[in-house]
Amino acid sequence: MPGEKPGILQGTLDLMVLKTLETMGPQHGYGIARRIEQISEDALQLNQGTIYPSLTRLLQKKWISAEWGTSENNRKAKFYSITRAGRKQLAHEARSWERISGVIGRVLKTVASGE
Amino acid sequence: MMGWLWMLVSRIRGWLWGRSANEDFARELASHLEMLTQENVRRGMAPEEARRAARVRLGGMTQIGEQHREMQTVPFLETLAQDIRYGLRTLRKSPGFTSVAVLTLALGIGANSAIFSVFDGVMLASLPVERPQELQKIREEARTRTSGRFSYLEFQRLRDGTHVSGGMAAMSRVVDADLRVDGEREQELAKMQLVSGEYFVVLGVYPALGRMLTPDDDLTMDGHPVAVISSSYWQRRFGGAMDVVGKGITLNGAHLTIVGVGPRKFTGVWMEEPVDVWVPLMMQTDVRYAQHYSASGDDTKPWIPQEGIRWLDIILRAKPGEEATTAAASVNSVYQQWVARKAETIGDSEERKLFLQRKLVLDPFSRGSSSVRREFGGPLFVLMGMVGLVLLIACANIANLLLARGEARQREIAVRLSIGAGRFRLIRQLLVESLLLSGMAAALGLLVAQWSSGLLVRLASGIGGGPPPIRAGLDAPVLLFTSGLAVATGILFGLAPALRMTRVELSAALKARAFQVHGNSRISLTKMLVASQVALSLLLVVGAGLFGRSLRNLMHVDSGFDRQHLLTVRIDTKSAGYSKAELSTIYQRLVERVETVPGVRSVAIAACGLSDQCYNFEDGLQIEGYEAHAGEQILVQGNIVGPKYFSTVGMQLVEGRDFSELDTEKTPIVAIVNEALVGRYFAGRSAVGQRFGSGKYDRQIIGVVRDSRVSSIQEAPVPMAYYFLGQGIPPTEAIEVRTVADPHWSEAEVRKAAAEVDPNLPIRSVMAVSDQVRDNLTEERLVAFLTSAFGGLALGLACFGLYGVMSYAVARRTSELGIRIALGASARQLLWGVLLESLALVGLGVAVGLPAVFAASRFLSRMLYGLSPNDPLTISGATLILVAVAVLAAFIPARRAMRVDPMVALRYE
Repeated sequence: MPGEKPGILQGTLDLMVLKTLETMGPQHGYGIARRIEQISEDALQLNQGTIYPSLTRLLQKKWISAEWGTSENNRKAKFYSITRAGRKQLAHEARSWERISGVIGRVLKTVASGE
Repeated sequence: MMGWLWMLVSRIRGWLWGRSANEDFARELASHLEMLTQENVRRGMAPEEARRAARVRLGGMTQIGEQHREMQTVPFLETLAQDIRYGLRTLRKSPGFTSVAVLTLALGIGANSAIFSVFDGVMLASLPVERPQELQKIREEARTRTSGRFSYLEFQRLRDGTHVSGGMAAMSRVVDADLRVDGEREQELAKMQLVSGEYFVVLGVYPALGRMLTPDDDLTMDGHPVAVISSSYWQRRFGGAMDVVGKGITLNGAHLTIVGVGPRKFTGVWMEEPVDVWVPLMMQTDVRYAQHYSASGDDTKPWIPQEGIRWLDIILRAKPGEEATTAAASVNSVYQQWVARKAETIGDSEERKLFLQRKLVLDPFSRGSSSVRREFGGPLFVLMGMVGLVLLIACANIANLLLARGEARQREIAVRLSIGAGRFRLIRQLLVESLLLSGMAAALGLLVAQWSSGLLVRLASGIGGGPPPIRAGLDAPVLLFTSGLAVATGILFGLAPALRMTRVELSAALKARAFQVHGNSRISLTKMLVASQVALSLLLVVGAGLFGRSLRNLMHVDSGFDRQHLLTVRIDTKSAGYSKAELSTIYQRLVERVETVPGVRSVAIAACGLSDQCYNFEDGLQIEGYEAHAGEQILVQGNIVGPKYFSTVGMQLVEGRDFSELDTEKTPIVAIVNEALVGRYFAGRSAVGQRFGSGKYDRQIIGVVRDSRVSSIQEAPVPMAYYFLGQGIPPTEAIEVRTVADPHWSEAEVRKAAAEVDPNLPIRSVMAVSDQVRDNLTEERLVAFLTSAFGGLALGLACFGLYGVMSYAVARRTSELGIRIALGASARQLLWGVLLESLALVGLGVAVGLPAVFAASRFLSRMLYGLSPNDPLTISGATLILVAVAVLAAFIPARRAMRVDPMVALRYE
């Protein structure tokens, strides 16, 4: 969305959370953190707590919603799910991410071959 | 964009109701930690170990919580709330400063809001009708002076011959009428207006009760005995009773039925003449709507079919822009046909050409019409400017107080800066303090305004009585204006001190007793403020002086007759419906009876009172021997007076003879004219013996009297002709009574005597003419009063400012003064030193103020009577007053300087 320039890391984490919620459906914080770790094949070893600022931010922007529920082993947990605005944002972000990463990749390649 | 907005909304929500959200988050984290622990246990760790490892994986719980809380709030609002809390605490800690500052500002803001509420009511408020901006009034543009009104036939031609989508309506003037409600004995005065059937439709005004008048109510002459009353009259007279519709009333002898009540707030389109009752135009003869006196006294023929009697204003509804242009063209095409036809009857080609140039123009009418607006427009602008200046002076004062306070808070601010407060944050906090001050002052100022705008309106309406002509109150625009003012003043007086106070040299300020912080720049800022206060005050004092002297001039204008010891009794023989024979005896008995009242010297009857305009500019008057140039219309005001009139009112006959009993209905009509008429139409020649008339020269001038001026004392007298009552015996409106002593003493007796002659004769008022003269100067008196009040206020504030600065300067220099005394300076020298310093400030202010005075006073020239806006006496007087007051203000601190005890002063350090 125009006018929003999150830092790269913060932005990518938000993007990953959104993507996770899109593919997995409603998830609690632990589940999301686990999923991101698994997908990145544990390459992204963050403190799991760092996803909470990201969740708060997404909640505030109404891209995700939250609700208390019961987890698979009968534990009270807060479940997050992506909203329609969130899906739209995700599609938009994904496109621009691909574009940017494409551009960066090309630039890096040309610079490399030019040397 | 939406995302950002939602974020702000949710943050504000979080800021307001953050507590429960934080608990919620803590629970969420706990549940997360639990899940991690479980996972670790599943992997085979011991429970203790599992929990520890989970903590590590999750990261610092405290930091996460902190971060979360921060994300839930709006930092700006959070700190603003802190600033406000802190500001309130600081202000509470120095109640003296706070109350002085708030009171000063409240006066300034209150005065501004009060004047603005009147300004808004008079100059800006729109009519309470549908889409007022679409209303237009038709005006005839002609080279010669015309009444500006139209005859019914003209209205009919325009209305029926054009197509204006929004419609066209006509209305009469608003006049007094005798109203009696069926079943009640008492008769009372009501304001009546005649309107065409389309009037309410065009305005888009809908009834509060019953119905309004419609075009069907205005078809046949005297055939529609219906009336609509205004909402305010309904409340006032009938207490808002629901059964008022269907009630019968007698209005000037005509019996009408009330069919509806107008909407709340709507009292017609003339601000100062709120209408009580509306009647269809067609009822003109029945309700005896007649303003017109002619020498023959014959105006009883219906006006509707008369081309020559122009008595209506015409309004229409057309959107500004294209629609209005089309409407104007369409109206003109009809009008031009008539002009062309009429022009054929004009012999003189030059005159015909001029006549053909007449056309109609549309004037915007969204705010209705108001003589108050024309009259008070200029003065109101001046008053707005003046209160603005007063407020500036008040701001300067508070800025000075803040600076002085800043000195005392220097250490506090230095400490805060040194422990890491940002300068911006400090400035903001100081500004919040100023805004708190100005906000409190504005709240208090609204109270001041509420009270004083009511007072203003009462003052402005004079002694006339009746509902005030001006709508002024604390409505939305006024509240908006006041809050805008609060913010503007808060920043105005707060910003400079805030900037200055936060520029501190930390090391110096933190020492226990800094001798002098930051050189003389602070002093020079305060001195600049004082000098500008002096300059602004000079402007205001000169303004007050000019208006005061102008009023004095007006009060002493030669009115052309002896206005002391003179009473005017307003009667209404017309609505009583007397025959000519009855009138003759009533006049005689009135004069005889009133003359028996103790203290009355002589009595005379007149068609219109001294201070009333006699509204008959007779059309088509010609004066023998006077060659009117092309297109010129001879305009003469007429009055019809009984025997002894001129001696009774004290108007001097300068030439010829007075009327006598020998002038009767059977002898040729004679007239006495005033000097203005002689001057204009008989330049240099003697007027006595000359003839004039309308159509034929049938009136002979037998005498000349001095000009008289009451109703508009500041304007040049108009040409007047007086005719003799004995030659026509028309209905009249006034009895002039010359008394021996104070006319007020005879008022009641005279009224009683006049009422005794015929109980059916309505007596409208009994008033001393000198009071009327004063009443007619209401505007000037009000302006003079207000400007002097503002001038005085400004002077007081400036004086207070100077006093504050000088005593502060003396206090700061106590040790220096002590040393000088110790070194042998005399008390006198010290006194002069301080006095000269303040005089220098005043001199600087005057030097800046005088050119401003000369520049600004030009705008006043049209409002002044008998003196130049640069009147040297006023300006030098004002300067002198200012200097005197300033010296007085500086004297107390100067004396204190003189009494400094060197020992005390030196030990003080």
